Amino acid sequence: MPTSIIPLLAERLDIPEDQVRPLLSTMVEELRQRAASDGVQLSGLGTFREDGDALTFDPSPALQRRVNRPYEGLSAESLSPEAEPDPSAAQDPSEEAAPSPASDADQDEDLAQDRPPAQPNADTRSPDSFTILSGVLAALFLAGAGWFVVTQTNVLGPTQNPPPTATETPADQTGRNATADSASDSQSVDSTVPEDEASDARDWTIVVASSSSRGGAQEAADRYASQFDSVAVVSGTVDNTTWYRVTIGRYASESTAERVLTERADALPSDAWTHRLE
Amino acid sequence: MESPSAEDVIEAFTDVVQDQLDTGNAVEVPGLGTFSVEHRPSGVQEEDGVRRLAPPRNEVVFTPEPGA
Repeated sequence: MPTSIIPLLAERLDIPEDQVRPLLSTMVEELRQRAASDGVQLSGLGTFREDGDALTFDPSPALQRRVNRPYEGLSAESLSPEAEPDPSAAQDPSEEAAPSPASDADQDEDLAQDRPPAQPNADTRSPDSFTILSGVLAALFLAGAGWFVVTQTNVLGPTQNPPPTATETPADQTGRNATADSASDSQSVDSTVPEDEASDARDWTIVVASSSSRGGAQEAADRYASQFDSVAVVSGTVDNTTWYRVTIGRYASESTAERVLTERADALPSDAWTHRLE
Repeated sequence: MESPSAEDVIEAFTDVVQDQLDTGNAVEVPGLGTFSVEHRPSGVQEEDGVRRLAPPRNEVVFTPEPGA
């Protein structure tokens, strides 16, 4: 059962319903007249046209994105993996016999549209890869712990710290994001955004790419950096898998981000979407 | 109380329709029609011999008011 717009408009405009009816009637009449001539576009909603005797409505991309927010980033997935054989695999049968984890990762990235990738098969991963992975994780942990000690204890003293630049992560950024990580299991943010754009009020952004590898995301970010001022790679955890999203800008509201997305549609991928950083 | 301008009415109209569709509600505009959201479940599509699983999506549907 549809809801009448009249009481909703009355509440929004803070006027009685009796006053809304003539205003709405005038607007609808004007809208139909314009739809009959050249069509009329309402920003953020869509375009009305008269097609013969019938009034048609074409929703705007912003409205379509808005109603599809629960499915943002999803794309069609092939059900015929053998229909597109890997040419390199066909040329080199030895690789087919012993697939490498790296090639698996590359395939995952090709399919990556912010979906959790297929879990790597543990049986096919060699012991060496685990050793390397463990070593890398241990090194990252030690580096992070050392950085934390240095910044929190101020060992170097205030004059030793270089002034922050536009591309550096502010010292307190990680602390704030660590709180965000612990506050949300479904999605957390670890950003490298400039401090002046990462204020609590500016938590909307435009996501232009997403990858399961930081390197892949950084490459995409480098491409967009030549066109946009504020490009960053932020990480988020979805279903226990870390994804790296390339974001453009920080906006105070969803409507502002949607407006920029619409205005810069030519320079952005068609599947870019607005996203609220948590 | 001051009467809202035409711009105010259009902006409020757009906001209300967006908000209602955002929450999955259908909204009826007298003299114009009804806006609603219809869910399209995930399904298999075939194109050029390749079968793909299309993700679910919502579609905005506008039904013009009969005789308006």
